Amino acid sequence: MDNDRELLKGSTDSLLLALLTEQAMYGYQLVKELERRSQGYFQFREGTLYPALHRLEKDGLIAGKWQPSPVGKDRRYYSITDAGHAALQARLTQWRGFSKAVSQVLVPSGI
Amino acid sequence: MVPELVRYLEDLSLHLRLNPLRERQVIREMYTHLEDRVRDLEEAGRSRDLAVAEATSKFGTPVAVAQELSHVHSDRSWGNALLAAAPYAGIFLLFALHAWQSLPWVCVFLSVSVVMTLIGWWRGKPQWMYPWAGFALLIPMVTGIIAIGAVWKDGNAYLNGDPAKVPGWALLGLLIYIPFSLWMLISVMIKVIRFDWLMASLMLLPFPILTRWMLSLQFEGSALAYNRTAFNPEADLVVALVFLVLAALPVLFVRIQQRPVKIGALILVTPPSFIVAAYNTPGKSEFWALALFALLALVVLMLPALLDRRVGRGSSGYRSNRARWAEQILSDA
Repeated sequence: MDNDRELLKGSTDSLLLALLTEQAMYGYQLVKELERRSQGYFQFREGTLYPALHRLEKDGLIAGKWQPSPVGKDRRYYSITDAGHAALQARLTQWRGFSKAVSQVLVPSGI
Repeated sequence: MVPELVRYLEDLSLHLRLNPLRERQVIREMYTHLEDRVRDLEEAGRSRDLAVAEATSKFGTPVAVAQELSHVHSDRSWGNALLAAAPYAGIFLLFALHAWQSLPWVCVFLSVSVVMTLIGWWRGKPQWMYPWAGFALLIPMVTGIIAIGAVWKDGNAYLNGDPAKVPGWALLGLLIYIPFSLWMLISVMIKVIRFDWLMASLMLLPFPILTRWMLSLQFEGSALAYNRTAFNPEADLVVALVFLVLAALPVLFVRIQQRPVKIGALILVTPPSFIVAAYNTPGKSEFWALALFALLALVVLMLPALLDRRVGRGSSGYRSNRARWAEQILSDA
C-alpha cells in the first residue's frame, strides 16, 4: 500500500493534467473522476490534491477560475493551459519509455 | 452551509501563512470540497456527524494540509532570499564606509527601507519584506530615542530654570511623539506576530545592536551631535561584518521551510554576533555586561514567541476572531 502511495505521489501531476485535457474540473470532481476511472485504485488523501493543483497553477500548467457549478454554487474550476498540454506530452513520452523498459525487465521473455 | 466544518477550517487557517486574499480563496475552496463530500456521504446514508468526521478524516489533518499549502504558495527562490538580505548589505555598507555618520546616507537607507516595506505590504507581504520592515521600524525607534534624549536634557533645563535649546512647544510635541512612536512600533509588531511570530523576530534582528549603538551616541553627546573621537573607525568594520553574518538569517528564513531550523539558527547565531558588535560599541565592555546584553537581546528576539500566546495565533481572542472570519467566508460560499 505504501508503494502504491509513493507511485501515486510521483504521478499526481500527470494524472491531474491528463484529466483536465478533457474538460475543466473542480477539486472534488477531479478526486471522484480519478477514483471512478481507476476503479477505486487511486485514493487521495484529499487535502493533498490542492497543494498539487496550486503548484501546477503557479507553474502555469493549469489555470483556476471561480464559476458556477451545475448545482448552482461557485466552484474553482481548473483548465489546462498550452504549457500544460506541452508538459503532459513530454511526461507521456517519458512514461511510455519508462513503462516499456520496466515491462521488458519484469516480464520474462517467452511468456 | 455546514457549520460543523467551520472548526476544521478554522484550525486549518490557523496554520496557513498566506496573504489574506489568497487565504480567503483557499479556505473557500477547501470548504466547497468538504461540503460536496459531506453531501455525498449523507446521500449514501451517513448521519451529519459521521459524514463530517469521514470527510475531514479523508481530507487529512489541518496542520499537514496547511503546511503543504503554505509551502506551495511561498516563494523560496534565491532572488527573494537575496532581496531579504539586501537591507543587511545596505547596513554593512553604511558601517564599512563609515557612512552611518552621514545623516543624508542614513536617511537614504531608511527611506529605501520604508519604500521596500510598502511595496512588500502592497504585494501581499512576501517573506523578503520583513527584514526591510525591521529597518523601516528603526525610524520610530531612532526618533523616539532622540526625542527621549531631548526631553530629558531640555526638560531638566526647564525645570532648573536654565536656558534650553528646544522651545517649550517643541518639547511638548516631543513628549507626545514618544508614546506615538512606541505605539507605532507595538502595533506593527502585533500585526506581524499575528501573521507569524518568527517573522516578527526576524524584523527585530537589527534592533539590539542598533539600539545599543544609538544609546552610546546619546551617551557621547546626542544622536545628532556626538563626540566623533569616541568612535573607533576599525570598530565600524567589525560591526559591518557582524551585519554581513546576520544577513545569512533572512536568506535562511526564505530558503528553508522547517521552523525548528530557523529558530535554532536565530538562537545560535545571534548571541555571539551581538557580543562582538557590543564589544565594538563605545561604552562598558566587561564580559558580564556583554553577556547580559546578549542575553537581553535574545530575550527581545524571542519576545514575539512569548507574545504569540497573548496576541498572536495562539491567543483565545485571535481564535474567536478567526472563527467569525471563517464563518463569514463560508456563509458567502
